[in-house]
Amino acid sequence: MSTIATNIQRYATLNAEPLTRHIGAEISGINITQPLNDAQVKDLKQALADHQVIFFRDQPFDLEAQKNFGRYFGPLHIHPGAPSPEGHPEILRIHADENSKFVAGEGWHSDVSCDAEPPLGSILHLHTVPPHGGDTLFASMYAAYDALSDRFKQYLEGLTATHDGDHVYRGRYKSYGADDTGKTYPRSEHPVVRTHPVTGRKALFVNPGFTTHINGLPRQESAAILAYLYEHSTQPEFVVRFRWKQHSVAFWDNRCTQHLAVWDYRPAVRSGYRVTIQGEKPV
Amino acid sequence: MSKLNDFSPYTRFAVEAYTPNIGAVVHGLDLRQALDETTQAELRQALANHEVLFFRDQELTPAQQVAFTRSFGEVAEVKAFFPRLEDHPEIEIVESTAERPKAASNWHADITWREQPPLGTSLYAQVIPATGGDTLWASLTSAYASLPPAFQAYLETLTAVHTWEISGWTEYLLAKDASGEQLQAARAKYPPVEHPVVRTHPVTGKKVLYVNPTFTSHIKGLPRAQSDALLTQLFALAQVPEFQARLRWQPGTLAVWDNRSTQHYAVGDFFPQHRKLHRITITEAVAG
Repeated sequence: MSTIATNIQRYATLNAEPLTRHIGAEISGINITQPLNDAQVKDLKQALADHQVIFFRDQPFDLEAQKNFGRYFGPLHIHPGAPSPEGHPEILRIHADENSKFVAGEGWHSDVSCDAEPPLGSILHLHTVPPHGGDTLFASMYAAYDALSDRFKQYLEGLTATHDGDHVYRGRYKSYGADDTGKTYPRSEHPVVRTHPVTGRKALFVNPGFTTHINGLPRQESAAILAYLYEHSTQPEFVVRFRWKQHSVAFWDNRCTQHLAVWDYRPAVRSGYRVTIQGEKPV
Repeated sequence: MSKLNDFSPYTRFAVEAYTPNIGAVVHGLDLRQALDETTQAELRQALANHEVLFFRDQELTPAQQVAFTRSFGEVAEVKAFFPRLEDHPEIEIVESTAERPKAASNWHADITWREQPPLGTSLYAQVIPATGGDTLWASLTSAYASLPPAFQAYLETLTAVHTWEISGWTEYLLAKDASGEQLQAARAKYPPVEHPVVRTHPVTGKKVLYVNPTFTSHIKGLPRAQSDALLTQLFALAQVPEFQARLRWQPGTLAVWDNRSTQHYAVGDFFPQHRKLHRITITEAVAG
């Protein structure tokens, strides 16, 4: 019979089972739909710092409980474009069904990285999952940075990139009744290599969703560099693929990961809500 | 675009889709038992339909793994690539240690540099690292199906050349024998082969995109730049997450994949932990 080494990490108030070498852990031993004590919040923050994305099972949030959970980690972020459920401006509805022409997060991205202060993290709860499919992939931008050659790291030092929301959001929410005529979407410049404010680790901070170009480089050079970074950072070694069940929750750190939603279940329904935490200016 | 409802139900076991496009977990079989002919035939069909099959919680001796694998075809006594298990020459040992870390972290279909590549492989976990060491499979059936019809029709006119020479073996043989004699002998014994870019699966009749970045060097009849650009585009289809299954190994897990319609990739994120699996290659199908 085959053998496996154990890998459960025990924090004071919860356990974490890492899912791959570089990113992702499944958390057990905690009920996040209920109010938490200081020790639990401390452990959750540490687990997020250690694993970049943490997953929970069987956490049937209602909207208030999900917002309350998010608030332990910072003020809640309001999306620049997406409409929200009545009375809940901080909630982003994530929904796909037989009528969907696109799904949220189909390509690799870090949430709203076009903001001047992009969100710290996002907490997604799915109350309805398709019978099969609908996984989410998360890539570690720490591992991606670490794996670059020293020469290439030097090359990237000091570079900034432009992240633009317009090509992502313009007209996107028309079917939900949003009219964005005359609206300006965020557009910001961020370092290509970002230092995480909590862990101090360096992470690549570009993504094909929002990043349009590296500043100060000829366009062709910028395009070639970004193409390499995108291919490099989404290698299987740096990625965890999460399989959802009903009432699963994923809490990811936008500062050191990018993610992608797999759309392989049409016409089935996949539905839930996201709460997003305000972040800080990347440095 | 789920393929779930496309198949006749199986009578000897239950099948649970792993993703909508590729992979299935087979429930209800104890692989230590001899399987009757109907079960074996249904397994062969399931392998073709789902492209990679997973069996959980199986406790098999090497002899039992060999006997089970014979359900799918002839079991090859392989000669070259991996060390063989003593007393069971059909079993190759895929092992990575702290002293010799390795993983096939490159997308490939096995041995497409031969006229008749293997039908498939059964891979059975022996030692699993605490984290890391997942395996990914990509469905080249789904990849083909995702293309526009006019492009599919164009691809069906093309032939590609496959060779081991672009996969690093040339450097390896020269390192072993700087005189070049071993390299020349290998070239003489295994010259490049041609395969159509689109193959038809012999069991399902479905079309399969049949190029892989490890062994496919170029497309015949195209200027090199065009061939490179087209192959880059086709290779990228194996990277589409919708067409992939990613397995996290557990004790007792056995995987069987269809080498006629998939490519695979071993995630090399677990070094220097110990990892060991037993691998058996399946060659031609059982007659009838």
